[in-house]
Amino acid sequence: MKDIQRHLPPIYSVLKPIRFKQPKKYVCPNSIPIFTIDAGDEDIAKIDFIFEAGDWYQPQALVASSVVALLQEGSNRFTAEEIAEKLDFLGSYIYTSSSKHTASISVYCLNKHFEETIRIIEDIIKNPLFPEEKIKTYIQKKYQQYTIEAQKVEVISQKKFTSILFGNNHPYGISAEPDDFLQIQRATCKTFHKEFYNSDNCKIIVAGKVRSMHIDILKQLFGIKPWNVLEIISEIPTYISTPNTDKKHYFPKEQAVQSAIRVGKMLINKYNPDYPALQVLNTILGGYFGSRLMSNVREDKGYTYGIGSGIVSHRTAGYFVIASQVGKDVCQKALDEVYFEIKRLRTETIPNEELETVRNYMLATIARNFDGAFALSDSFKTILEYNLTGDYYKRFWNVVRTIQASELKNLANTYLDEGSMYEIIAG
Amino acid sequence: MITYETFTLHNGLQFIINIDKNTPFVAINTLYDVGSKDESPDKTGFAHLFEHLMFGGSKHIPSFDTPLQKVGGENNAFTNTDITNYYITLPKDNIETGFWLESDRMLELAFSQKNLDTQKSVVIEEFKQRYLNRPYGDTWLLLRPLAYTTHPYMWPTIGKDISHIEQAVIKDVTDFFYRHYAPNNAIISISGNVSVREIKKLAKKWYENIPQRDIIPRNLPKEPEQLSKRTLSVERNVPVDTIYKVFHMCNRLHPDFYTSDIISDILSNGKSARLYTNLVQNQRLFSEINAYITGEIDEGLFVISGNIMPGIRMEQAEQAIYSELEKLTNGFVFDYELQKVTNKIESTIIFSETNVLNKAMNLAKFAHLGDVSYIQKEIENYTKVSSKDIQRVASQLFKESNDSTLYYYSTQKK
Repeated sequence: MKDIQRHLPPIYSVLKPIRFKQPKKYVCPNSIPIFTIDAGDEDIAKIDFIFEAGDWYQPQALVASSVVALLQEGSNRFTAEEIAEKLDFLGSYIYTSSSKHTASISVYCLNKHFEETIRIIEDIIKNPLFPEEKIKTYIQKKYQQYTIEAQKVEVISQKKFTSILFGNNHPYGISAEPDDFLQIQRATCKTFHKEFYNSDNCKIIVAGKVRSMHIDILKQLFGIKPWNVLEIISEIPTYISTPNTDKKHYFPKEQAVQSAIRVGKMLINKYNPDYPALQVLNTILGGYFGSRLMSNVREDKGYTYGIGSGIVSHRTAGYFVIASQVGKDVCQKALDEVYFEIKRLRTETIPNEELETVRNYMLATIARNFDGAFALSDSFKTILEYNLTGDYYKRFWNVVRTIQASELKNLANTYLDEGSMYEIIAG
Repeated sequence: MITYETFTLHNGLQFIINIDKNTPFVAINTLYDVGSKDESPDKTGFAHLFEHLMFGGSKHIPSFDTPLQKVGGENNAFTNTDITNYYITLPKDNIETGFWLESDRMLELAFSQKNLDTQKSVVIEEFKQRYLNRPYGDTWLLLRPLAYTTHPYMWPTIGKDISHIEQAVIKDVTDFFYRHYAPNNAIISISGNVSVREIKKLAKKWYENIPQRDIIPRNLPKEPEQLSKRTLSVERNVPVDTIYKVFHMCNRLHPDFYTSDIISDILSNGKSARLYTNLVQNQRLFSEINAYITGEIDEGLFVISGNIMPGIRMEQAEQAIYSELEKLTNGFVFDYELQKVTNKIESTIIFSETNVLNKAMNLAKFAHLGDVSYIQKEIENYTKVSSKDIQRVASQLFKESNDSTLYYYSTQKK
């Protein structure tokens, strides 16, 4: 065998543009859209039921997340025990989640058990009972989990950060306390469900090895007649953010051996044309393992196990945040490095080599998000939330491919001035 | 069912390939047969520290991550008591970059003092973040030495104590490398849209000239049978009381392994499982309770851990666990229940096979157990388990003398 050149990297190729495969859309007679993503060899499916029923619409803290979690605690036709027993027996999995604007019921199942699974899901979505006893158990359980979580410095700092940024009355800033669980009432859950879980407020995504059978069954169970629709449509609440005027906040915690840091500010969201370019800038700063923050604060200084930055997009606003947990003794030193790295984005031009690495890394990340039925489904769910189309990803891809270092420097000056940052420390 | 091909190079390096044409990405998994059980008792945490050092540059390549990210790759690694496992996913067309990088660090590390100093600090921060600065973080630091008196499973992978990491010197690093990192002590598995021919060619090019090294056969002390119940009570500044019970179980290759796993599923896999239904939902003694096995290669542990509700005494909580275990030792298992847990296992396996990285990791894991074909017998091994097996194994597991219990008391109680 001839000598190999171990010093030299093998020739590599840049990823060819990957198209986001737009799901097929089927509109049911009652106007529920069903989006289908057919990919993969395994006879399995993931079904998402998405309702416009997130935190934004809740009358008090934790109602949106409690309602979606409590759906499986008993319905007209099944007790909570029967629901759990049947789904477990079929090897089907159900995950409920709520976000700022939406609530989702996600179901994973083998195709051979699709119909049986979805028949259970139908009843829990349309006719949940919210039994008093189950609510009580749920509250006790969540109360404990929250109490435990609330002792972690990273949880304290994150909650404080968003509430300082948006104000504690804004759905993006609200930080529920364990005691808020004790205020959850059965009547509130029932009213919330009645108002927001109906056929006018529902979208369905089905991904996997999808056949006409899937659409037929979903249509039959969810799509023929309107269900749970109210005569009166309630007003959508509006909220105004009320940022704290002080930029620096410290929350001491006795006995902590590390401090959790959050540095950041309000920023644009996905609708803004600068969003993809800012994501490139964010990746360079703290968005991947080789980022400047990781290289400096972890790999050079050893102040932390991990540090990263991100741009969080919500439907009406976004924010930028740098997050880390560092040794208490090196907290100020770590902060100095954080500001040093932000400043460098504004004052120095990013070297070609580094920009090329980040481009390729990000293109591959986008491609990963399109890889396989479930990843495609998640990517689609994201743009559905914003009413965007596959063009969004196309534009994102092009920006990552072509953005220049000079443009990134300008962006850093526009958006990421160190002086504009909030700084929250817990621990 | 997952399919694969294997071949072995002259230096003993074993390759396993799974072809998956559904994805533009490929996963490369490199497993080294070294874990924290191979550490000496006064230098614990070293296998994991060493895993960090593997990213600090190798003989011909100053940085592992940068060139990989440049070709759209991602990677990470983990260390446990048995193995150290490194994995990469990258666009299929750039697979050779993965071979180039992984082979160079198998050939020789850079052994830099600066890298060692930094990674010692990073690992110490990891120790603080995950084990000291988090409620209940020290649980396994307490449980392992309670359950084990002799076998090196008695310390967790992070190490017994921060001081062991602080004391590591560069000679430890070089010694460790030549003692454990070698083609004849590794398994590489690949999943993606590749051909066996292509992988053979790359394997020969990048790995064949890495020399075999003398791997001293492992000779670990066997854990003696536990003769009486062990308990440990601690008080911590945490919100609620918790209880942890661990029982010694059989090793990974023992036929009863699958029965033990099924027992843990009957107790706690899914919302309809017994511990959740009876102790969380019905009796409201716990806010959360889990049963699982550590799944280690040598004789591992069957674990039950629960967060106790306010107002419930520790003894009452423990008694409730005992009565659930007693039902199993009395042979109280329905066929329906058995069918349910095996259905669930089957479904989990099918879902896991949609992902190249999962597949690559699993193939390496089974090859490491001694024969990669075990992976194809998984579902069968689970479905073979009978209610008689469950009663027999439960009776051995849940003997009082096999029980080590940690009572973790809260000092914050109102």
